[in-house]
Amino acid sequence: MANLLLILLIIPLLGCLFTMAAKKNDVNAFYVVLFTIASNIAVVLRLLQAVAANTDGTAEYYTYTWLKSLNIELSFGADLFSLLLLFGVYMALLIGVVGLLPQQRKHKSLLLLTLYFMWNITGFLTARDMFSFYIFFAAMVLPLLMLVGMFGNVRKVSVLYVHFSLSLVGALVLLIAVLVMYRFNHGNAELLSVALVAMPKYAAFVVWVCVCAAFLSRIPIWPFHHWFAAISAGIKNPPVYIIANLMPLTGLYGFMRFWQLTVPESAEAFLPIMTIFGVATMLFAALIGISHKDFLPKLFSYSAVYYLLFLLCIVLLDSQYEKNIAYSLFIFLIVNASLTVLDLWSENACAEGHCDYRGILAYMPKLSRIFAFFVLVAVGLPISSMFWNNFVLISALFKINFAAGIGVMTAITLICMGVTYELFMMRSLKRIGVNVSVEDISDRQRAFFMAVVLLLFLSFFDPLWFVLS
Amino acid sequence: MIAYTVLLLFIIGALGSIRVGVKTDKILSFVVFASIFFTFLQFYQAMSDGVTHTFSFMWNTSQGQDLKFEIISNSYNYMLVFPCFIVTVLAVLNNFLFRYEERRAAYSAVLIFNLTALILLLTSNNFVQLISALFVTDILALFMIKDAQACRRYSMLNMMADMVLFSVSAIINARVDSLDLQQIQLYQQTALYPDFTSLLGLTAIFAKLGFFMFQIGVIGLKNIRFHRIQNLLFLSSPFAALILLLKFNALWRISDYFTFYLDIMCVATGLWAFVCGIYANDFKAKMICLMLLFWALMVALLRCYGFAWIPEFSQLIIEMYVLVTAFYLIYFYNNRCRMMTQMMQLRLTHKKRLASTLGIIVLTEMAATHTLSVMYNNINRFYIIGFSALFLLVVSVIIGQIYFGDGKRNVGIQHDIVFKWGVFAELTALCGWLLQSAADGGYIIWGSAVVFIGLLICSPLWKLQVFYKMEGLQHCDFWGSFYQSIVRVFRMVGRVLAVLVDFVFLERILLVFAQSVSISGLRLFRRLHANKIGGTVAVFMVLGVLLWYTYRSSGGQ
Repeated sequence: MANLLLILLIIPLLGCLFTMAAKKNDVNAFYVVLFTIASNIAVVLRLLQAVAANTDGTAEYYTYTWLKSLNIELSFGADLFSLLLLFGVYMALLIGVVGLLPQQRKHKSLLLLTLYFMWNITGFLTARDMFSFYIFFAAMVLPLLMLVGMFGNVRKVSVLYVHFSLSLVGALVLLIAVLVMYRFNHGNAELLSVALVAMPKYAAFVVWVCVCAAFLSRIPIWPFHHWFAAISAGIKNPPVYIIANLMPLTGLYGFMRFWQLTVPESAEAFLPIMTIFGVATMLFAALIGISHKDFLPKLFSYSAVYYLLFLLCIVLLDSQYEKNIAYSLFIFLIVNASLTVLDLWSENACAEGHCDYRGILAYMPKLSRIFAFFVLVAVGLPISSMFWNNFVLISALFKINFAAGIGVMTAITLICMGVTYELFMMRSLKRIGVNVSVEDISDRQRAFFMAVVLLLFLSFFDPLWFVLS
Repeated sequence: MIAYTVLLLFIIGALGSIRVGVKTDKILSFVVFASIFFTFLQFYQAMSDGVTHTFSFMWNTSQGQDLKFEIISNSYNYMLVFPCFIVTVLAVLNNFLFRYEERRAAYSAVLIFNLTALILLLTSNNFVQLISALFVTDILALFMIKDAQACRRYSMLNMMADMVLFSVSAIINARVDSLDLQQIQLYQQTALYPDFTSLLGLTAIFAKLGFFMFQIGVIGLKNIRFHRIQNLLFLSSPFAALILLLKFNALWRISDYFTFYLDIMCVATGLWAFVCGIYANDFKAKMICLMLLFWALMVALLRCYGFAWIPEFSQLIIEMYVLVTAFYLIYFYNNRCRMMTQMMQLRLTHKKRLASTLGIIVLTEMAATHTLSVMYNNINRFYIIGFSALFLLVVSVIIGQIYFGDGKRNVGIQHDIVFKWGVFAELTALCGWLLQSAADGGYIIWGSAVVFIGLLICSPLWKLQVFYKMEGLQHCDFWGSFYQSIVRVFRMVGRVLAVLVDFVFLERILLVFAQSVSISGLRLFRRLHANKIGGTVAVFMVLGVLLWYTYRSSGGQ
């Protein structure tokens, strides 16, 4: 199984090489990317099978010793949590790449950077020690910046600079934390035991402030949410939008790994502040979401609210809820990516058909049905495992902090109603025109999304139904 | 046995969902009806025999909470399933007879799936199965409505109510650490904010029932087809809400204000439905009001009976369904004319059929009187007398205005032989069945029939048809405007926050401050590199401080 982890890391790099070698203005690179993602999905499924068979839910490690004299040993490994996230991320990327319009499929640099990002996030989610974790955490900023800069249609360059600076500062402060921990641990530390590294009080305080700042800079919590929203606002390219929206996942995963066993004593003081900021931002994002008139900003607010819900669950609940968070996040990633692609398709159809955006789904019955399904999953109806897992998580939040639970549910209700309302507006026949011809999705696209629908629907009965026992 | 019924229903539903041609659809819809009818007969047999059985399997497990999927067959659950099953069978039969739909079999399939979800809701013993079935019922309601414009308010209100019920269930689960519905009783001992939780949940139930303040959801349905309204209001949210009212009854009792709140809402809904039933020009709106009046009575009676279901409740539901079907016939004979002002002007060309329909209405009224007389006691006297009077007044006004209006235009409708006899046979058989137990009813039911006919002929409220011409009143949407203004406030707050916090504070203050700090830093570094003595001194001073700090922090070594 350890070799599979290595294969998981090598396939995207090979994909990058093939993509670079592909012809310009041709779709070969596009098929390489599809094949690469599909191959990695197959490997992840095989790993999930192995992990599910283990009673403790962990897979074997792949260890690579690097800089022996400095006592740095890089190790990779995967458990159920990271594998489910990897599967979710790959599915999101696959959905994003399938969502590319014909002319966008020939952008070699876009496809190359997508694969490069995929390699980074694979390394990040399988890292088992703090150095390899840090390397991929920092390296991810580069493809993101290039993708957003080249294909993001960012209106204000200053927004891009601020976003990049924040990511860079986040990576730098994490480096400081990692170096301090390296100093006190006399070597590299495993991610699981990071919280247990013995440090003097002042050093621990500095380390955990840095760690929190680094991870929070990747999560749309106030005040960082503004730059996430500003970056996402102009993006009309599915994989770029999806990648930009995957960045908060890295912050969440960071908290998950650093505080997996226990929340360090020095960091406990931050929890009430994080809770207050988290709930306030959720309400804030939900209110801003319902004030928007288009679907995509609403979807962004929705994802911000849900990322913050997961943040609260990770930092406030104990590790026994890890599986529920993983199941819920997995569905969330897929639904978010699917809705993004479907909305961008309908927007494109609007632009081509010169019709009103509100009412567009009335012209596209095939897309409309799939769109409605994903919206219903997104709002947490019992058609995916998200429903049951959210119930468990929210119950646990209510148990810990009643007021926070009420705030969280209010925000979720507000944004879910906003998203559902927009679905009705998009399906409304009231604004339908007479001489408008809009092309619905093709049978291939429909078949692809039907497969995704099936994946989500069957998860309602068994969240790991796709894992062969 | 109920589990076996669920399985059969699922298979029949799947059969009905098959996409076929127009001619085959007729046959398929009949096959679907025949199948569900035989399933019902089997169910009825099992109910009479009192077959008890529990079907369960482990669905999921998490944090020591085992989530079981359970279908419990016992006499109480049979009693609860019975009314929704029989109403679904009638709805499927009517769908076959009336040619309501372009794809009849598919619509019947939706009704059958809805029944399956309702049965899962009724027999559930844990929060997750309960809320899941509730959500599924609401999703299927969207298929029943099939009109994005018409179902917007209904769906949004229902969704809000579902989210509230989800939260309430999560709160209870958090406190009692159990998914078991029976454990709600323990919540009383550990509840954090009992009044808040109880009244919040109750408000959600009222929203689902379409009670006063939340009626805009159901009233908005007047723009969809009549039979869809009928099926929705009998088989979807209101019925599901009634079941929730029973299932969560231990929660409501926690609050001291519960009885007061419930009584106020029932009376307010009854009065509002009566007023709306009188002044609304739209025939479908009148029907919705009648149904609201009925659900308000049901809720009030349930409260009086301590939230225990008795067979008379089932009987009342069936009687109400027959009554609304009879009203559908009147609507149908009036060429589906929607406005009362137009209906009153039509010359009735189907006098025999209309007279027969009136007969069915009178028979139903007699059966309902008998049922209510059985339930009559000191506790519910006020409700039974009050609501029955309001109900009879509204019915008499509608029928009187249509039957005894000054007709001027002829209408002709075409229908086939199956429809001609099928519907009457169905309704007559039902009336006969309902009245068989009322044979010993004596003077009460005959007396009520006389009163009802008297009201029809000389109702004092006939003259209130002047309201139909008041455009302002007919288009008045107070609660709709009220909710829209709330949403507008939320949107406004969102925009203000976006401008104040995001734009003014973050972009104009924080970002500008960060930019000026970095510019100052850059200037400082430039000066340090400008080959001037001051810069060199500053660098050495900073380095000195750092060295001293390192020396101190490493313990002077």
